[in-house]
Amino acid sequence: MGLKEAFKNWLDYRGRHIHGGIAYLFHRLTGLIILLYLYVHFGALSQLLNGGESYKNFLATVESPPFVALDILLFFVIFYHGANGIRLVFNEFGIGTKKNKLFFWVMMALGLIGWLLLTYLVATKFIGGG
Amino acid sequence: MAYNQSLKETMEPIAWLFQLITALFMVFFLGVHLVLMHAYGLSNILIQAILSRLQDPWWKAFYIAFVVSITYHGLNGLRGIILDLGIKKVKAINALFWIVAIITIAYGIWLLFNI
Repeated sequence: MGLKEAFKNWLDYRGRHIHGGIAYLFHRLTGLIILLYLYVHFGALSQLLNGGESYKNFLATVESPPFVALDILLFFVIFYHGANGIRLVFNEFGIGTKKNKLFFWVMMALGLIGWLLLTYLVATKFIGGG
Repeated sequence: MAYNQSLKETMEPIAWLFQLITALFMVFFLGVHLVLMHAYGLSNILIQAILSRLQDPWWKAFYIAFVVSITYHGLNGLRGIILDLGIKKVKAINALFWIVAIITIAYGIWLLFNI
């Protein structure tokens, strides 16, 4: 199978359950985003070298509202990956496989609550000038 | 059709087991990290706060384990996705995975000891 066909297969949502193929597809996409961010994050941490002079400027940039908004978007991606990932680990031990659709939505609800909570804290502490 | 099924089908059993173990570690490490760095405003991310945390051997151990876990989990996941596409050069992909993982982990740990 060629790469093109493989990718097309990957993105084909037909005949898939939300808690099956579609959740897996998003799990992979969010995983790739987080991995990419890991390297961006390592780059940012490098600003801490040499006494951290460049880190202070860096901090001034990333605490501005557009960057905080990007952070919040990233949290959404992380919370999806985490909430769905916890379900997959449970499934691996045979837990929740019979009611996986319900399990999926329960985890999504928990993930959403966690994300809203963190978003509230970040928005009030950073954008709110706290 | 293997595509878009669990990467369990793609990975070696030991690699999949470590993917699960590091997943559970990540819930803890990333959970602590997100709350610590974002729920307290600026106070925890000022350079003085970072330096003083890194003086503490427990925090240092936390971050070393974090770097190892997240690098393995992320890169092994990427390796699984690539192999799942049906790429035949499995040995080359695996070698590349280990090289990138070791460099990433080494750089992360080096940073922890040099800032």
